[in-house]
Amino acid sequence: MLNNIEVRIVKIEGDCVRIGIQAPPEVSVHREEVYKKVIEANQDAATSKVPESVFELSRHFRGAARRQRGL
Amino acid sequence: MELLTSSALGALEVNDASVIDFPEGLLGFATLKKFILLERDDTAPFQWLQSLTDPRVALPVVDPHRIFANYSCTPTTEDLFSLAVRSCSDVLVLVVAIIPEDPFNTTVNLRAPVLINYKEMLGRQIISEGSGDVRTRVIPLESQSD
Repeated sequence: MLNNIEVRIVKIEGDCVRIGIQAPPEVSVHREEVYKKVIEANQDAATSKVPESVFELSRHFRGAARRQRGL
Repeated sequence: MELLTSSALGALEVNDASVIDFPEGLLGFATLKKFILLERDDTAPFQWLQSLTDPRVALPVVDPHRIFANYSCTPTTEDLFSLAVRSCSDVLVLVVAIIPEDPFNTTVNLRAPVLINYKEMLGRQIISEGSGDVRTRVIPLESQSD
């Protein structure tokens, strides 16, 4: 599967290099920063304060749902 | 039936049939491959993805459509293949929430939703370009005074 991925330098401008990646649709291409951001977000999620702050949030959402239904 | 003491949720009974297999773990938790999805009335609409391997790891998750009615994500063929998806209606889409001390600053990760094929009990966190930000506020700042 890995032999049909093409990486090209599209443009070099000053200290900026633009890279083009051509890959079949079943291959996902993402920048490493995205993975880093998601990893950090998952780790922060795992330390969410539970359950007190969640109860408060839950009440907010249930209140919002009631308001939407006009109750 | 197995007993688990979750740091976040206390004592839990785990039924084998409710175990979801994440062959690649979650991003940042690559070694955690078995989770259960827990619903609790007092935290609804937020549910919990509780790791069976590490009782300290429980991630709040929520159906994104409950907050953003027009939310959509775009799994790749590879994602659908690894989830053994036969019908899209078998797939549950959830987003991971970060609920801080002040819950009104809660954010959800619209960029990397968790997909669960509940027919096969297979899960995978995907990267979905164009679906939104990694940290999207669920309550806009201007509505906080409500």
